[in-house]
Formats: sequence, C-alpha cells, structure tokens
Amino acid sequence: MAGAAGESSGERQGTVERRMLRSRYHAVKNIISDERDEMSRADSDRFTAIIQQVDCLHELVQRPREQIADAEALLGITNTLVTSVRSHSSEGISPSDFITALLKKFGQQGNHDDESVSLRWGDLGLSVSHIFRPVPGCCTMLGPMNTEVKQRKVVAVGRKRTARPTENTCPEELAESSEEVKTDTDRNVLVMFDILRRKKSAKLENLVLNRLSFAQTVENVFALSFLVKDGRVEITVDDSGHIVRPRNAPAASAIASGEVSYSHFVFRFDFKDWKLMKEVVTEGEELLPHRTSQSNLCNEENDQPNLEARAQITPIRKLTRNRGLVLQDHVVEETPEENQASKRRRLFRNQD
Amino acid sequence: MATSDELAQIDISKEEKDKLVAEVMRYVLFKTHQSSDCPIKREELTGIITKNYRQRALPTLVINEAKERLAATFGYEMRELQRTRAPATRSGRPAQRQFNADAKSYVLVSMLDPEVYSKYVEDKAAAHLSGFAFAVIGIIHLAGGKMPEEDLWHQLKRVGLNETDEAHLVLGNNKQALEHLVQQRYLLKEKIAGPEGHFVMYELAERALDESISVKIKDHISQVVGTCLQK
Repeated sequence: MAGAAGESSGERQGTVERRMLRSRYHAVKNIISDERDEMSRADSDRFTAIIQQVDCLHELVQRPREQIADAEALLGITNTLVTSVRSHSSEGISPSDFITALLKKFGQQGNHDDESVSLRWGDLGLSVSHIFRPVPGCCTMLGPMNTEVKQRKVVAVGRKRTARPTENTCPEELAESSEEVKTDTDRNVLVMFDILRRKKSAKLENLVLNRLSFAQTVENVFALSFLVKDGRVEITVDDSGHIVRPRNAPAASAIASGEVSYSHFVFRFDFKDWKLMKEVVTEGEELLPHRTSQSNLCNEENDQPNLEARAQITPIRKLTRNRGLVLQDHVVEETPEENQASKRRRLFRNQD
Repeated sequence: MATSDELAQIDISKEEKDKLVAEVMRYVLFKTHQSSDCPIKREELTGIITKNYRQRALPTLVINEAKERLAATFGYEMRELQRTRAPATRSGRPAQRQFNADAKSYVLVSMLDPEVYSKYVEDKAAAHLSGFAFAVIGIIHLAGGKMPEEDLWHQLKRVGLNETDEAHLVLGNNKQALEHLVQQRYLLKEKIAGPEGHFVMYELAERALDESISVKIKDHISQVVGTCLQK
C-alpha cells in the first residue's frame, strides 16, 4: 500500500514539474517577443543570455508537450533574427530604429493620466505629402456612381415532405369589370359634344356659360379645350363672335403629313369676364345644364329668389357646445354689392 | 490623342470617342472621392466603354486619351498599377510573385510641384492618414517587405496605437485604418498556416512597390533616421 502511494506521489511530482517547465518556456517566449529589438542589436548580449536559458530548459525536456514549447521558443528566436537580417538590406535600419526616429522627430507626450507617447500624425502626414500626393476627387455628383440594381441570390429552400395539417384555400377571383370609371371631365366632354352634334353650331359663350356658377363655367371651358385638342371641334371667328362647330377628328396620317395643323389661342377668363358674359348672353340661351351634386347644399334651396346669391352660398360647419357633439350646418349668404350700399350683409339661417 | 486613321479603323466618330473619354474621366474623378482614394479597376472603365461599343481596341484608346486629358486639364496623373499575386504552392509556401495581366487598376496622383501642392491642394484635415500610411509602409519595408500582424502591432504600440483601440483621438478605429491601407492597395494581407495555427502576414502591395512611391519612401526614411542620428 505504502509503495503504491509513494509511486503515485512521484508521478504527481512529475506532472507539476512538467507544468513548471512549460510555464518557464512561456516566460522565455514573452521575453523574446518583448525584447526582440534588443536581441537583434550587434552590441547586445541579450541573445546569448536567452539562448543559454533555452538550452538549460531543453535539458529538462522529456515529453512531447514540452518539446513543442521548446520548438516554439526556438522559432520565436529564429523569426527575430530573420527580421534583423532582412533589415540590413535597408542600410542597416531596423523597424525599431525607424520608430525611435519618428518618436524623436514627431513624438508627443500623451494625456496627463496616460504615460504613453504618441506621434503628431498630422505633422508627419504633412511632411510626407509629397510622397503620396493624393488628389481631391469630385464630391458634387448627383446620385450614385452606378444605378444598377444588384440581383439577389435566390436561395433554394428544401421543402418538407410532410403533409401540412392545414388546408390551402385560395380567394375567389372576381372578373375585372371592363367598364372604366369615368371622371367628371369625361362626362362634361360627352355632354358638350352631344349638344354640339344636335345644334350643329353654337356661340362660344352660349356653350360654356353657366349663369349660376362661375366654377362650372370654368369647367365647361376646360371640357371644350379637350374637344378642340382632339380635333372634334373647331372654333371660327366671324362678325357675330366665336362660333363652335363639331367635326370629325383628323386621321393620324393627315397630322403626320402636315395637312392638318393645330393652331391655339389663349383664353383669358376670370370672375369679371364671367359677369360680362352673363350680360352678353340672354337668359335661357345657355346650352349646358347646371350640374347638381348631392353634397351641394345650395341645390336643396328651391325658395332662393336671387340666383346669383344662391351661387355664392358657403356652408359652414360648427360644433355647438350646448348640445354636445352635434353638428350644425349654417349657411352664410353674401349678397352682391349694390351701388347704394357699400356694406355687406350676412344672413345666418339655420339648416336644421 | 487618337489620330483620324485610328478612329477610322475602330469605326467610331471623333464626337463619340470624346463622349466616352469624358465619361471615363468623370467616373475616375467621382469614384476616387467616393471610394476614398482606392484604386479603380480597369474592368470598371472598360465596362463604361463596352456598354454600347464592341470594338476591341477601343477601351485602350479611350483610357489612354483620358489619361492625357486628366493630365492636361487637372494636372492629375492617372497611374496604372499592376496587381501582384502570390498563389500558394502545394507545399503551402507562396510561389514566386507573379503579375496578373487582368488585374490592372488606376489611381489619381497630383503632378504639381511639392511646394505648389502643399500650398494649394493639400488637404490638411486628412494629413494624418498619409502619416499613418508612411509609418506602416516604412515599418514593413524595413522588415524586409513582409511582417506578421503581431510584430506590426508590436511596433505600432510604441507610437501609441493599440490593435484593440476603436476610438483613437486621431485615427479612430486603428484596425480599420490599417484595413483601409489594404483596400488602397498599399498593403497585402495574407493568411498563412503556421505551426501554431493560422496567422496574418502583411506585405507591401503594388501601390507601395510602385517606383514613384517606393523610392521616395526609402529616401524619406533615411532622411528621418539620419537627422535623428545626427542629433
């Protein structure tokens, strides 16, 4: 029993010794790393001291792990010497000498807390600018250098073979309605062309005027411009004024060959012109009907005697405090200015 | 300048050729700024030309004329770099350095006199980058043109640059600053299998080996070290 115990104790002693040996090798490697510059100097005996230390440790090596540590230490020494030999091709200046020279010339002390030394990188850069001579490129370009869209790589995902527990349902596809939604302008254009087709010719002001609404008069002018642009209408001028006539649109070939050419004129039209137009056109001779919309409050008032005032009614919505969040519509009416009265009257009438 | 005979052979009008030259010049100027002075690959420039034209001799003609125009108009030299590559052999050691014919690239360099350049052109705000480039290239050059990453950082630590420092007062992220030199083709970064596993080796790349730069760097190193020895 005692013999066995002694044997295991000796084995354990060997393990501890080996660990100690490896740690000493590790310390030597650190010295080689830290003092590589000192080692490579010709006048230094640091190399001799380190190599002797490694030789002493080598005599204690028995197992592979320690042999590896020994080999690594030798490799470190060899690499240091190789670097040293290489530097002799550069007039014997080593990287360490170069750094020392840079520190002497461009060195500066670090912060008060920090003991380390750093370089004045800006000054060093200015002193070597003639070497690199970088040029300022242009930075005012609009947009990126290339606008090509990068194709994403599609990763093929392996699908599971197992059946899914849920059912796959597709939404029912509805047939697209062939009818396109027509805008108000399209409708106005059609109505106007129908009237012209029936009438054969009409005075411009009779065609576009809406006595009740300046806005709708402008819309009518807009609709007429579409007909003129498409060549479906021609406007001629004679003694009685501007006459509008319907016609067939010219063929594309006629336009291309130059047989048919469009000529334009600018139509100035504002509120004053609308008032003048109302005086020129006899009441009831307007060709286009007044368009009504459900949201328009004015149209519900059949008891309004003054048509012009009716055109100027503006709905005002306000929240009344006394009845909580109940909307009340009030209508503000503005009568046109009369010669004798310069003051505008406002009539508030409850719509409820 | 391309002669009328050359243009006739390529079957392209002078106006078309001028437009291509202008496009190449524009691309080089903007790309230089956009990529922070990284070399522009020749394929990028030929791509501009071959997008609409198929003539084989045209890219060389246009690029050469763009060089002339940049020199005459801006005083910029469009310098051609030949990329070096060191393909590993079966034994794992890099073979003799070879030149890859396809890997041409271009950088813009000012042609002005040093005095005029420093007075009117030099970007004082970016001078620290030139300083860092000089220090790193100098260290690697003096180490024989090659240096393990560990040794390089060991030297840089002496001037206050730590590998782990991501907020240096001047350079910002030190590791990124070094990586930028690789992108600018001053350095070549190579992973090498060693006895203790892989380690990174830095060596001088084509831009640092270019005659115009390497000669001046050697001279300036001698000058810096010489003045210190005299003191």
